[in-house]
Amino acid sequence: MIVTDKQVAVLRAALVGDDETFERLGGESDQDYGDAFGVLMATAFVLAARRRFPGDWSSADVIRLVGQVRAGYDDQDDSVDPGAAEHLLLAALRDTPMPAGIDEETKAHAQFTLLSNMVGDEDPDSHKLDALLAEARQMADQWIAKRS
Amino acid sequence: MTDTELDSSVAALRALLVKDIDTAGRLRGELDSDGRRAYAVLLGTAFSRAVNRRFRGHHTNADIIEFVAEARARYPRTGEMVGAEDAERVIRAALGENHLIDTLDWRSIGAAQTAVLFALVHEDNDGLEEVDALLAGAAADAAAYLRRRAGR
Repeated sequence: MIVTDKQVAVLRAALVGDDETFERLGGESDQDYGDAFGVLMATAFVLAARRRFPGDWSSADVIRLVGQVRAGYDDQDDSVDPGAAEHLLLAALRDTPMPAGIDEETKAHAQFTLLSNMVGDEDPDSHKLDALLAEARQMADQWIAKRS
Repeated sequence: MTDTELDSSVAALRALLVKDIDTAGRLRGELDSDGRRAYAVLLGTAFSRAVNRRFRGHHTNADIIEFVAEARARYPRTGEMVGAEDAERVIRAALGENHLIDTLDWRSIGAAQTAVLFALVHEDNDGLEEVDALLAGAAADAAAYLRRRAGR
């Protein structure tokens, strides 16, 4: 496995707002937030987007979701870039490469905020979230293995 | 700048707002440089009136984000051309946060104002009377501004 159990657990804790677990695991010295964690978040984002919009969808649906997420996001100093968020969602739904020209921090912030919203309705103990993360991990492992 | 230039601008903007897009394009194409300046001023005053009418009193940034998202979703072709951030910034600038458009060029401001104004007018299915009333007020504001600028 390229993505570690701990990385999956950290992402899960962050998504369900389990701050204590997030702090504990994230603070451990061997925790690597490197490449694999970013890939895991990206694959989880793609899967969550496709679950959110499983059939017919339009760019209007994407615009509305991004607006809804941004309107509910209360940190004005760290708001989600709407253009980046829309492009990331469209790329996930169209199975096209993630757009170039968006810096990594902006991309990661938009991905995480949208992902949190898309899985936000899940019960923290839900098997659905675990299933999504397991599938995301598999996709991430495959993607990293193919790349290297 | 003459009243004729402002009248021509009113006719062009009116055509756009009543969805007579071909006429709007033709009338805008006929404007000379003074006419284009008058059009930009008129667009700004109409935009300011419409924004203040819609958001005056209590509003939050979330209200503006939601309005812009809904407008861009309703008109996806325009939505692709005018980003959410530009549209939100011009609205907030009209409500007093002028610094938000400091980094926008005039072309982007004009495009965002046009798209938002169109969405505001059609949000409540404004009829011809409402459009004409909005433009009459905006034209008076624009004329006053242009007179002040000319030192008259």
